[in-house]
Amino acid sequence: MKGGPAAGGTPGTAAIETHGLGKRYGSQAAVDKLDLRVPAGAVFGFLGPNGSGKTTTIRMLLGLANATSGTASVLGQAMPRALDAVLPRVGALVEGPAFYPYLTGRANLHRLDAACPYAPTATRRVRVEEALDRVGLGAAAGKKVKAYSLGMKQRLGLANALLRPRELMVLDEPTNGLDPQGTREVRKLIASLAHDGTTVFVSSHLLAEVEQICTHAAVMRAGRLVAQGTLEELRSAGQAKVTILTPDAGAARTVLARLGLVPGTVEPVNDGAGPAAVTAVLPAAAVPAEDIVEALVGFGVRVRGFSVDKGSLEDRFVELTGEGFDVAR
Amino acid sequence: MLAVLAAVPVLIAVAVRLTNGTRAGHGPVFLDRITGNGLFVVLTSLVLCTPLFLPLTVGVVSGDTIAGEAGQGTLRYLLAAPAGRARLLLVKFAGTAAFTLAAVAAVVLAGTAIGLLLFPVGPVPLLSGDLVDAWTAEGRILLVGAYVVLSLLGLGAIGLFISTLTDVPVGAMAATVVLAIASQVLDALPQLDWLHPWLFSHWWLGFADLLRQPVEWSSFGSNALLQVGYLAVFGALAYGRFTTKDVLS
Amino acid sequence: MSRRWVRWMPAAAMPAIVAGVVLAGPLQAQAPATVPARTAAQVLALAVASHPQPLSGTLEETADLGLPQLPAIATGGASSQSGAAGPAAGLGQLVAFLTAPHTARVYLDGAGSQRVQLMDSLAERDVVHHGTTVWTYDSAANTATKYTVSNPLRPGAATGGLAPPSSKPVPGVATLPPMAPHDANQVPGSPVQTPAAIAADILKNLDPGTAVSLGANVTVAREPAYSLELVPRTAATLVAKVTIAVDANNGMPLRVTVQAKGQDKAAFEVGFSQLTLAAPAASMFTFTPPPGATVTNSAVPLPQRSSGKTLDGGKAPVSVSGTGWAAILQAPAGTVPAGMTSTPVLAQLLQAVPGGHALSTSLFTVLVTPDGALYAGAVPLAALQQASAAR
Ligand SMILES: Nc1ncnc2c1ncn2[C@@H]1O[C@H](COP(=O)(O)OP(=O)(O)OP(=O)(O)O)[C@@H](O)[C@H]1O
Ligand SMILES: [Mg+2]
Repeated sequence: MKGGPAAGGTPGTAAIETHGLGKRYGSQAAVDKLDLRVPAGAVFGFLGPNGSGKTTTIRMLLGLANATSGTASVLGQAMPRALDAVLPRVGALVEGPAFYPYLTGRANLHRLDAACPYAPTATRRVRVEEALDRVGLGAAAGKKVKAYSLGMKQRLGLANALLRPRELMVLDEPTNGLDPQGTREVRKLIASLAHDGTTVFVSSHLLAEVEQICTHAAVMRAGRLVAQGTLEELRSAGQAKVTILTPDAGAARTVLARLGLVPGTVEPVNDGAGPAAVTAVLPAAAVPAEDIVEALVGFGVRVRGFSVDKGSLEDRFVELTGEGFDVAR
Repeated sequence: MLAVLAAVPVLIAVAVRLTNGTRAGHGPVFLDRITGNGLFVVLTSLVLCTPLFLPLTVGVVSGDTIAGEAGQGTLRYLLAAPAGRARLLLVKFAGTAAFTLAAVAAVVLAGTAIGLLLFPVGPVPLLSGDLVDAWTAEGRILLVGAYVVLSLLGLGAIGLFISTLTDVPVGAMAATVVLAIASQVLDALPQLDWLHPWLFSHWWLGFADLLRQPVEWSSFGSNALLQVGYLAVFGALAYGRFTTKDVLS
Repeated sequence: MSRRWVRWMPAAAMPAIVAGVVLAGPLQAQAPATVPARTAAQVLALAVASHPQPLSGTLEETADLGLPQLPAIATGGASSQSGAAGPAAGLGQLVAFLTAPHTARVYLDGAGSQRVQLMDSLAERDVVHHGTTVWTYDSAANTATKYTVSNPLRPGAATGGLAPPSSKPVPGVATLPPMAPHDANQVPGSPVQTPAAIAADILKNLDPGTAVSLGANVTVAREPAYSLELVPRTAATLVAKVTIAVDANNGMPLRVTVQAKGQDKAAFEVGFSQLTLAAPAASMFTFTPPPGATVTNSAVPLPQRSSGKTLDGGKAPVSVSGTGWAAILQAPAGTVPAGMTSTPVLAQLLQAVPGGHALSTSLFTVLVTPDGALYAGAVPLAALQQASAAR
């Protein structure tokens, strides 16, 4: 086992790479033709609404579930085949923590560490204590897990992933159930792991969180990958939007239409008493923003406000995954 | 569970002590001999436990092996550790075997202790009518214990296989116990005598052959062969199932 | 995908391996033995001249008489106080013996000391014969009974092999030989007899009504053996064929198989499954009742084998009509107490037929007339009814 945390850190190589990865449950494709590439050293946000296939993908990457099609390689090795060589270098939190309720947090970690034949026995005690301290569970480690709160279990799950120096961390919704301090601690933790050269693969649907900690992201929708790249690429791929505040909404729409833009709905501001907001997406190839203002003014539209928004990750996310609240399937 | 098993000989011994014995031919085999010799407490307990209590506990433990971990969610973390699927299966079976040993040991030790405490102990008459001294008899009892442990290994393997089929431990336990009972019911139907030598429970009470003079080893051999066969077949099935299974719990 | 398939390989292969092991075992055991070629007459002579061997062995007895199969409990397999048992219990025992398979260990020292251990489930019945004393011990009832053999082993019989043909043949009950404690092959009071003892009973009644031939050589308990086949020439009997496996080395009968007409499975078979030709330890033949056992010193003669004859208590004169395989045994009126045919055990077995109640098996038939007379033989029921009507 290669111990150094920097081992996976050579830029340009991929920590995770999948080609046409697919998983079917009966007739339903939970993951479909997934081509994912997680560069080594990245903090990679894996986004997607509920039921979009994030956890299923993680299960396949860890060799828990068999892919029905396609291939996956983790840390440069083909995945279910090189399982024994790869998994000791990967820390994982999959779909929430799970422990033996009648054992203490510390005993649980001892047991899970002992489950791996490659884990050095001599350093186990020290490693367990370090991991517990790292997630702030040092004081509660002697408590039975059945007496843990949700957040404490989540922390213990993270401690389990941190038992050994890892080259890759696969964390499925790591901040689920954590208090604000815990969430911040996890962010710090991920940052420090990344600093040490560990690749971090975080699945989440919390966009703010991803925006704060990730360098890269991918977006899933109903089992398919709809976007991936650096955070910057994703944001800029989002279409800019122009918003005009005006009492002459109808005229503004006409002008926008003439300029080749597609005006959106008119949203009244201040219960219809004041000006209304007219929006339109602004494709990259469209007319420059200043020309729009010029055209509006020239047409006699009273412009009270004008703004061009570059598009947030949230907009981009909603754009990619659809507005509806209901899960896809 | 071990405590419950250990309670069986104690209950028997106390009951016999209080009622001052039973006549021959009434109640389970050997019950009538207890007042004369405390070592018969163990044998009576084993006769009582082998068809029901012991398979019950072995069924519970073996049915829980994989399904219990799956139901709790810990299975995915064990496999991600990585524990290795074949290795985990082996460890789980070893655990079941160790429990079986402990369960039988609980009955034998508790039975010997309570028998020594409440009744006289002396030379023991074997089934053939010959007497052997108490030490030889205790040796035979240990041999019987080993036989019973061996007898239950096949059931352990079956439980392990069933446990890989489901994420619901109670289901696996119940299925294993039901199989153990069904096997004995089938074994009691003379119409199915062609099937009897193939039933894993067929030799369960064959430990009586170790209490004859001289010891009749053929049932020990047949039983060992049968159990090894069950172990091989259901071990292979469990391996096939568990190493190809999607862990989705 | 292919990897998953490979994982199932052991599971697919294992039953095949198990089947292979199971099938290979008997195949090896039945490897054709090379034995000197002999004619049927030579094998017959070899068997008749054979000496009782010192041996320890395991006997397997099976019967398939087409009787209803009763659970062991119903036939009271455990209560076998042979001397004290009533006639009904005796018949219950008989049924248990005729339907359930038995395994018994036999120890003979070749000079008259004998021990038979009938291995029941969680119990054992022992018969220990040494000198003029016979002990029976029943572990389930924890009873021991001591008998004195009235006519001890004749020195001549002990060393002289099978007894010479008797003057009064009773071949119809060949499978249920009357107890005759004058032969070193027969164990007095034992419920299971050795193939040698049964073969002796059959061979001593051999007459021209039987076609004797040799079948393919067999291996019994790893001993190469000739297969002596006795086929009744008469059509009046239910017996189709009797096969005696005769040890090629010493002429000892190792297995007796009785085939009934119209039935593929042997109607009755007793043979060694395991055999060691060496004198057992002398301690095997000394018996002291264990403390706690109920001990009886029997004044009455040794109880006879559980056969139809126990019904008459040995007192009523039994006569024989017919000859050879089709002989019919008759016991006069009053042999069977009135009302006995309606006892639960018998009611299950007996059918009401014209002329009384009958027990019909594939190998023999018993008829009890309303006045309590008893007819039995290895013949169809009609023959018994005829005999009963003719009286
Ligand atoms: N064991 C299963 N059997 C059948 N279908 C399943 C199973 N597990 C998941 N699915 C389906 O696969 C799809 C993807 O599920 P998955 O758990 O990967 O979603 P997710 O992206 O992790 O969602 P969440 O954000 O809620 O955790 C869902 O439609 C789900 O219904
Ligand atoms: Mg999920």
